[in-house]
Amino acid sequence: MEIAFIHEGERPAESASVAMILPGNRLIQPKEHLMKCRTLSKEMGIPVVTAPFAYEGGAAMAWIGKGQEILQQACFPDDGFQKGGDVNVFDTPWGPAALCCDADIFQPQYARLAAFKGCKCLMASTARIRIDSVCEYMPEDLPACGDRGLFFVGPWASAQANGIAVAAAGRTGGALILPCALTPRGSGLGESGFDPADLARAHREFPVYESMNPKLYERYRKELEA
Amino acid sequence: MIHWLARQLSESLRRRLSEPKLKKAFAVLPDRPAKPDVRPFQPRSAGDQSPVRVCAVQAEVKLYSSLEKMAADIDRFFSDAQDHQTELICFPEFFGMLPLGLLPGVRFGLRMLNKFKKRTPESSQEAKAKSVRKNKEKTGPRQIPPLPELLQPFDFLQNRYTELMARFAKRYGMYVSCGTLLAPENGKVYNRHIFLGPDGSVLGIQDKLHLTETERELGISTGDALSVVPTPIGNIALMVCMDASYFETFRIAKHLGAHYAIVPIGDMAEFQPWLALRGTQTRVSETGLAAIKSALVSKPSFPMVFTGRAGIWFPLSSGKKSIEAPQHNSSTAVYGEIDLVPQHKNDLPGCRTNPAFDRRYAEELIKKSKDFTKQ
Repeated sequence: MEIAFIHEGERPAESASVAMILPGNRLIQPKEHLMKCRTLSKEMGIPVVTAPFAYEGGAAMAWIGKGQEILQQACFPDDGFQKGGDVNVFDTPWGPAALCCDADIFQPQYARLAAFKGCKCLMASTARIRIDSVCEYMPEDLPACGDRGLFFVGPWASAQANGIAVAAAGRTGGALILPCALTPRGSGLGESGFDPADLARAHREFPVYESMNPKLYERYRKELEA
Repeated sequence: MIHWLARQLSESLRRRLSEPKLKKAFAVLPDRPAKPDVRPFQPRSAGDQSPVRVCAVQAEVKLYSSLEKMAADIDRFFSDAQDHQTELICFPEFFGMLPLGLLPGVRFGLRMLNKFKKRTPESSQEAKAKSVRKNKEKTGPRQIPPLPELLQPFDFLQNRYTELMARFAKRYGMYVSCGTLLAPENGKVYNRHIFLGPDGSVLGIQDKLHLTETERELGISTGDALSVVPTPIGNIALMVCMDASYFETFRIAKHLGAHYAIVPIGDMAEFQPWLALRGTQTRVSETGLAAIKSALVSKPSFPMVFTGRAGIWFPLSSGKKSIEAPQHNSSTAVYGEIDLVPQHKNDLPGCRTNPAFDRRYAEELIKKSKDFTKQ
């Protein structure tokens, strides 16, 4: 699976298997955006993931593929916006995937629930982060790196905490994040595509679910739901 | 045979950590005159919301030939912390197991292991491991008694180690996170974090909640409750190492009213900065809690590998710069201040709620974690 991160109106490289449209600074109006994405998908013969757009008093994004349109409402939007209630995990030729609209990527329970539902690749889009030259990032930068830090707290952490791939589209670019064990430098960064079958290897390196503590979660269910 | 050996070693250790031996070790600790520019320690008055001065210890694992030497090393951490007017000092995971190194048998065994490691080239070690595996396949796994049985004779260690650290707590008037030790109890073993008040009393105990694969294989048991200890220096969530890899632990701590968390670590792997990033550093920004991470480290010459960087971590939204030890394999300490009154904006990126979604998530979390841990 190779993901191209493009601005609206651009065309992805021929080698891309999915195109993700980078988010705008403001929620875009859906009608024209969806039409453009449908056209692009048809012309290129690949699925297109839209940028977040205004939808029924809230925000949403969509996966537009051949005969397959999936809508995902934002579940943790800004105050005053309508909230979605669940994450939809859907089948793609590359395995189960899910969409993650705007600030939802900073809520760790969102990616966790997606992973529990079988998601192997979470496609997140938010203008709150700026992604540029992610391969240059070093963990030492984190304490002082402002919204680059948000990149680690949101998309990067979601990939590591759940052993899944996260395709993150930000204001100025996008990045595919994999579990650390799957990338040569161990950073989880720097890859343009991935084979979902490799995620099993990452899981062997860090068997995140086997170390969970159901008794703890049961005892503090109220706190986890709060 | 192995039970007999464990009993002999435990008796020897019991003698080495006896009350008179502790007294003697403290009697020879050097008196360090207070530095003129350091104001004397004043206990915090009730309702004082000023920032808490904390110290995260990064301690090197060592084999001590005497309790006096060990106490002198620990004393140096306290004494330096006192110079920084520290109210809370935090020691790393497994730090309470260091007294085991006082046993000549343990020192001898680890030295032999080290010599063997040095002499045996990597390829030859691999060949040996292969032959052990082959042998295992032929004869079945070797019957080693389970860890709880082996450690049962050492059940006094928790009390003796606590007593040792309580003496330091009183000597310096500090709150002390003693780090952890393996504590046998009712036929089980826990990786246990002990927290003391400045008068040496035990204020909190926390058994590790999320175990590593190795710990699970060794038969260590998990705790099933999270301690948030209310103190004049804030409500403190006690955790252990991999608990910080799970945002659930921090989320629970936050909702139980914690101001910050203490996370002692003792990572038995080569240092990998990216892997180190996936715990505490991320959790604080998701929840708005601060965290203190103490680390056990080893020199390359030590037969076991422990790496990590002690640090004090603040949420990104607080605008406060987190502090981390520059090296991952040498002794040091990190000092900083933690605000009891949150400095961050209310709208943390990870602190939004959606009751319907969160209920669904909690339900699925409990169900799936039961399924996974049964496998």
